[in-house]
Amino acid sequence: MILGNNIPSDDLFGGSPSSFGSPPSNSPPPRTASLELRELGDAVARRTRSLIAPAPILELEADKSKRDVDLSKHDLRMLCLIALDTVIDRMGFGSGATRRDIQIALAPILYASEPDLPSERERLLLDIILDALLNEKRQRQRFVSRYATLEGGAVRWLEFEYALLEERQTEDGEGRVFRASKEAINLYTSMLGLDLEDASIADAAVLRYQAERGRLDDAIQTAHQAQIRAKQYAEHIRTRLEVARRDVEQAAWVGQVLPVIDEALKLIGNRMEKERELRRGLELRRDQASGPDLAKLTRLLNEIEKSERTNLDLHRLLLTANQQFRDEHARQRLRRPSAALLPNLETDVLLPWLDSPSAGARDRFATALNLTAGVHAPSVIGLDALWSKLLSPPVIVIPVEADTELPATTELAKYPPPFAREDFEVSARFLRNELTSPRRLSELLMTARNQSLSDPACRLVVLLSMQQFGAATEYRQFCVEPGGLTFAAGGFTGDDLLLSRQ
Amino acid sequence: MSNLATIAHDAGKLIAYALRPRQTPWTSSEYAGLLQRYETDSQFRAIVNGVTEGLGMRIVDATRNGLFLTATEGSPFRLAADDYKQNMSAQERVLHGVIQVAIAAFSFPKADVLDQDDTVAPAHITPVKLAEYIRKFAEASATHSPAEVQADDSAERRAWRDALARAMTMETSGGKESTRSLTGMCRHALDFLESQGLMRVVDEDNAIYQGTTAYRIRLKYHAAHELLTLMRSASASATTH
Repeated sequence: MILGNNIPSDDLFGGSPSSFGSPPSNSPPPRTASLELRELGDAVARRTRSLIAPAPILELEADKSKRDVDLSKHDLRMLCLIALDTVIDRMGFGSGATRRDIQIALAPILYASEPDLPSERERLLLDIILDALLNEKRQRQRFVSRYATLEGGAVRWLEFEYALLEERQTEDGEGRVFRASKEAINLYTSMLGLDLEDASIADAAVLRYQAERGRLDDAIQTAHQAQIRAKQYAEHIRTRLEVARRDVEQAAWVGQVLPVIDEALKLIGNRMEKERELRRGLELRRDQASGPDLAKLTRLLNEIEKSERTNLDLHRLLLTANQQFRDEHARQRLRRPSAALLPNLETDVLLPWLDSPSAGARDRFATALNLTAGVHAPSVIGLDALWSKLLSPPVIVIPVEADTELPATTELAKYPPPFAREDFEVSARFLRNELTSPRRLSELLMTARNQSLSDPACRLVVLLSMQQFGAATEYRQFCVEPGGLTFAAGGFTGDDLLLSRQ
Repeated sequence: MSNLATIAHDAGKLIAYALRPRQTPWTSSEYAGLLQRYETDSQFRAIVNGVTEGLGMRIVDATRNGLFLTATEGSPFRLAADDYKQNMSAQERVLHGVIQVAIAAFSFPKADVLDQDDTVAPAHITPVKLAEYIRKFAEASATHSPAEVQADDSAERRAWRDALARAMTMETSGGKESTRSLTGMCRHALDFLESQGLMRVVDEDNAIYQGTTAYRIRLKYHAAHELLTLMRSASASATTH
């Protein structure tokens, strides 16, 4: 431990509160003590920050009774850590855990705590966990906490800004994934601010030691921790490169970033070689193993492979980082405004906007709209387009084709006409021959029977007589008048008629 | 077509993609290819830049996330008030101006949040949350305004403050949200941004929206600076008068 015997604890924390912040005494402390004091200050600051990082999770649990819903059956701290575990496990370059991944990981725990948990409540719990880790309450800003550090024996207050989780658009542009911050990974591995490179080397050594001595359970734990740390280291390097890439003007690429890349490449190369060796040895052992050892060795190899994948991805990133930086440099030269010196939109823009006089605010509407809401693509009709429309040939209307298909029909049965052509001819001839002088209808019917006229021909004689009775002059062919008597002859009965040719 | 004509044709295609709000390089491989070409082919880039400028627009950013344009003063591509909402009164315009700025400030309250990587998703936002946020800032602004400014309150200033207060307190019958209430206006503003590809609907039932990568890029590389400049010049002008 850094807190050695050379520095009595009274020198550090024994001072009265009033001495905090006061300048150091006139007599300079011994050189060794000064060095150790500085180291102690750094170590304590790192540990303080590590203590601060879980605060949002602890607060979430502490404040759960203030919520409208009863969450007493659930330990929100545990749920947060499981969510972080899931995210870290799925983190690689450009990927992370989806909301669904986290939901799947949390579901068994939620249902174990509350077997009859309705799905809406499950969703609510997931929202509560994610909102807390994202700091949704403060619009996803970084968490901020004040803490004291020791600087040359004096106490200085600083602000620690940190994040736990962030949501990102996926590489395909459509999905969203969650990624853990380095502070969150730190929280998970309980590193308490250890140097990442040192921790990585230590992990490799411990893992080899445990594996060689057959302490497989311990080795699995170490390998799991090592692969999480590999991700943390990768995230740490990735963030440094991303910051440099985002604002090439501020990054001292050659002086600061290139040495980081060189150092990381050496470390990763070394680490990959050691892991490869260890994996080969373990694979040989696995081939000969059986029973519980086989399962443990498989799990151990699985953890080592995850770590190897992370290291390989980082290796690739480091190898291409220089070219990517150059490309970005070329691209950012084209971009007019620098990403640096961005305003605080709340305090620098919104508040003054609300304070400003109305006339200005009204005039600024169009500007604000065009700045924040994109462009409008109008439908413009050009003169050429207008002329072509006017000069274009008339529109040919193609009539809708009628449905010409005949409907299914059945032929109606044909009945014979009541009178045949011969009947008309016979009745006409009979009247022409017999009506040479005025005659009664009854007499004519008797004569027709005597001449053996057919029944239809006789009916036609009667019908023609009735048609001509009162017929208009232009249709009249012979004269029919009432006969003053009734008759019954040849199957006909009724008023007798007197027929004559005028 | 000649080589130049072919390049110009492709440049036109890229600009057309940029003008379609919902089009992204993730959904169109042709768009992605044209963006790649914009980065690597200097002649193509020069033509795209020239045509864009000629159309009265400027390029905010061109990355694999898309080509982002903004319309300059007098451009036919500039959004008019009626494109946003028809028949708005003067007071409504003032309120909608505030709402647009508030959406930006809610999504990216501080410089470090705005400065995050382009693909980091900002906070979830709902019409109700946004209205509450504006109410909070309006109240803070009213209490923190310098005494001389309050004393010098013009009738116009009071009028729009009244309009804001009215919209904030507007009650609706039957629990139905009015389009003239502050929440209703916030909903319209978020819907409009959604139609412009700048917001995405996270949860339709609960009206949860979230700024897209395009929204962050627009603000980060252009609008935030411009809004700041606008406010500084407004403040300088107020001091002069």
